[in-house]
Amino acid sequence: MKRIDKVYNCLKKLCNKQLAERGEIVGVSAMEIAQTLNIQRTNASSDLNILFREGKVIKVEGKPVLYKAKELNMVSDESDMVVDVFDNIIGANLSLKNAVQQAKAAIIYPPNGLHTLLLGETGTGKSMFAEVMYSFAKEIGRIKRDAPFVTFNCADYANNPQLLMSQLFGVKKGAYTGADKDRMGLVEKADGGILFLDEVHRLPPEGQEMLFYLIDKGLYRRLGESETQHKANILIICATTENIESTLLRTFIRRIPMVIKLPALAERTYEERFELIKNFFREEAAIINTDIMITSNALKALLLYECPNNIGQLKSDIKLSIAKAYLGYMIKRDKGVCVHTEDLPEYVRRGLFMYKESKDEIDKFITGDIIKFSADNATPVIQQNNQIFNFYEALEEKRKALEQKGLNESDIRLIMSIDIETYLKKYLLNLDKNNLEELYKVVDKKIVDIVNDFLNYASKKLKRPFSDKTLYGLSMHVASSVERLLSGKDIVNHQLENIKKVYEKEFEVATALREKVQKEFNIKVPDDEVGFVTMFLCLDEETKEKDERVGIIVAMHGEAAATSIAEVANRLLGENYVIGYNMPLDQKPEVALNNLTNIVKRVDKGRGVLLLVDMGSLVLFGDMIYERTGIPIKTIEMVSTPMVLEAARKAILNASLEEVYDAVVNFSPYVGRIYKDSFKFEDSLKKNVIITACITGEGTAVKLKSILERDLNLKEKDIDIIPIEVESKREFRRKLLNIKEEKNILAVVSAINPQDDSILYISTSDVFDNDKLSVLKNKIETLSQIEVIDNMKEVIRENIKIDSEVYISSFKKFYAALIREGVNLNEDITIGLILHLACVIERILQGKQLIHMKDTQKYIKNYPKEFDIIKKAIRIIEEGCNVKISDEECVNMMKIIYSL
Amino acid sequence: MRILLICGAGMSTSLLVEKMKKEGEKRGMKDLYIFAEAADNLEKVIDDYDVILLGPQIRYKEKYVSELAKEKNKVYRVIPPNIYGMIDGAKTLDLAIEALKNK
Repeated sequence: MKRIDKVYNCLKKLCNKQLAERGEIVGVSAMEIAQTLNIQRTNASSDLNILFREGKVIKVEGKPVLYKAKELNMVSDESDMVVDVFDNIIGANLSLKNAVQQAKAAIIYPPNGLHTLLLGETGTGKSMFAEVMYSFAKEIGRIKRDAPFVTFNCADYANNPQLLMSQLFGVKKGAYTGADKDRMGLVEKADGGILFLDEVHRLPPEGQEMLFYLIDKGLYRRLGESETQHKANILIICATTENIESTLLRTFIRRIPMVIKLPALAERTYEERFELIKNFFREEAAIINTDIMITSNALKALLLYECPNNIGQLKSDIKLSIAKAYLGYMIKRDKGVCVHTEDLPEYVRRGLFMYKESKDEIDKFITGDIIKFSADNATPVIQQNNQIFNFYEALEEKRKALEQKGLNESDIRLIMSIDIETYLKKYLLNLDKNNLEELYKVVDKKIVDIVNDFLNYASKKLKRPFSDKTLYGLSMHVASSVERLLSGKDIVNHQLENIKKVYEKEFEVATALREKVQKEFNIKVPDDEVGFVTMFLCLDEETKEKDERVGIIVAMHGEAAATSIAEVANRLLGENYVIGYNMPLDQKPEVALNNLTNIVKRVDKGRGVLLLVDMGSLVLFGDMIYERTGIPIKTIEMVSTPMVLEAARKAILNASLEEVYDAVVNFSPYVGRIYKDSFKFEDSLKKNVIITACITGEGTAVKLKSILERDLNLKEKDIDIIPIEVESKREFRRKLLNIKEEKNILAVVSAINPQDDSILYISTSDVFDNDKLSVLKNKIETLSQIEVIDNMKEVIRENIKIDSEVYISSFKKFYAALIREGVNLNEDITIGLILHLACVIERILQGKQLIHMKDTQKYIKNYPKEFDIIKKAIRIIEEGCNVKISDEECVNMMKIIYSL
Repeated sequence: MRILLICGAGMSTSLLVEKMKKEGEKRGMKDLYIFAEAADNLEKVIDDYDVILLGPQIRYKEKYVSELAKEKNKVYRVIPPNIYGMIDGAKTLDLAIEALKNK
């Protein structure tokens, strides 16, 4: 049984007990459950919150928060029994009453429910409502517990109907160039569940037709299929902001029986609006892990101001005002985080003008001069702690996924070793600065003390301080390792060998922790674990904290797009923080690159710059600018206004570049998805690989990959490209060492020079320089010719009386020596040369006469450099085949090699 | 039919010449005369031949050969590297026959 099920059962049991003993259910706290089951309180709390979201338990606000199970197999309090997921929606019994009833009816309607269209202005909560409908359908058993809920935003691909259709309905192999296998569409994925189509008015005509067919008949075809049809049993929920009278919607309404209108914020009661505000403040309080206060005037303004983009806007306005209040707290204006009217955007403040008219209705919410919101226990912070405990599980899951894809062991090890660091870093980043008390709640004090002592020791030995983050991160890590080792599971670190090599000193220091832990817990700690500890010691070195903020730059094609997004963000923030750069379509990339480089230099305050771009060459600029300036830059593609807002908000809160970057990537599910999809490794890695590495985010590395694949025509050449993300030179070199063990690295394309002489390095900006790229091209060409040379072995054995084995192997060395000298040999010449030289050797060995040439001396005189190269290289053949080759023959070869 | 093979020094080509001759015998072709020469001598001897075949390693001389062949009303072909590399007499002979046919 999974932990969450145990928690659920335990809750039910305790509730029943209360009912039996007291005649009523008051609820059970997370602590009680944790003690009963002997698990961590944070784990119990996070499970209870999941159960709450799934609609299985009811939450009773207060300190502590109490939970009640909904189904108790016996009759209890009447009012508790009728509660369902919809009741958690703010306003379910007020202005949303009608909508909720309609939604329930739509789901309950036999046999499969009714397709539904949700109408409502931007930000009224259509997506959220659809999700609740889905939970309700699960709750009442209309769909299975594991039924899918698939969301698709029709606006995403609105200008590429074919892509949109393939996403929605899937593709049959061969439907178009590049459709190399059958692919599942979202409709198929949603089978048995709910498909949520957001912004359905953006669906192009082709899509509408197929969607109607699906609605009418329950059948659909994949792109490129004419014969077969597939059956899909799905409930469709569409959402739109459009007027119901528009042409498209009229045809829709004929087919979609249920139309639910969600009211605009202005149509909702003040009570609901207050609940919403309270909710958002609590969420934010949970995120920054501090109580948040608001002055009565500021609260009045929030309750009253005109908010055309509804709940969504209310939420972002609140977030922004808290961000500014937090800033005030940081610069010591206030003792705590307190939102004053001056923290509100001007248009929010204007809400106060309406106070007099609504005074009576408003005043009941204003309970004092300053109103305080505390984070309830459902804090994301707790969930993050939880993630840290699952560090090994995360790695194991990844491993399982790779195994399922059928990758072989060595490739899995390779990929895993690249990923380990990324995982570690994520966990460390997720840590907020808690105090030690908080840490003791989740980690045994004994372990914290050991780690603390160890870090003091390490900082003396390594002569550098370690931040609190390392203490927290490492303590939690050690706690989970000890738990793991005690339960008899082993620990595997795929990077171990290289860690030992690259971080020799740190590794040695880390063994001190092992000894302490071994003694204290009487367990054997493997080297692999020492490797992980080493990584913690090294991570810190690379994430030094500074006081300045991360710079935010928006760069987009077009005359005004970037500056107008920046302006919107700046106005909402009330601070000129975001910088926009417009790149007119006819502007040369070099000019844009120069301009942006200057802007980056100006904006960077030592903590790096986040570059948000739309598309094309701009995606690669981050790396090139880094190369020129050494300023850390991360790039995010497909910028949108909310992304910029989120980035600026995070940056103002003094987050690090990585944190800002992660926040934006997580904020926009589309960014992450696109990168991750293209980030998959093929079935198995080829022997020869090219590494693209970027410090500016995976997107750039993936972009480089696709450029190289196209320009070098790699698909047919048995060469893979591995895109990796790196943070520092040292880490980069370790990753390379790792890959080198398993694969032959042809080249590294990156802004960072790994400074490894054995690896061909190409800088990001050289990718567009044909001369520089030609070195790599030659290398690849050479590689394919090694194969040609091997194939000649048989021919020579059959036709020429020399030892072909010996000859071919020395010829390869001879060939490699020529390539090293920069000689350019194509297939034609290589074949000619192999046969020619074989014949020459045969004749020499048989004592036959060679063909004489006139002008030998003339050629030697006219081409001294070329002659020298050949004369030197030919020694390999002379030694290998035990012959002496004359100058005259060298000239002959020179003529073939240099086409003289 | 008179075929001339051209390569850098005429060394490896002679291997191919032998194979072509054997193939010609096998097919019972009469009046087959095949010879290999270094590229430098082409102008001197071209009059004696019907078809000129170039080894792939001297493809860079194709322009020169094609002009000369045109002037002398001869046909020429570059031997593809895979045929040349395999020292495939039969296919090289086919190439020469095809060239003459399409003259």
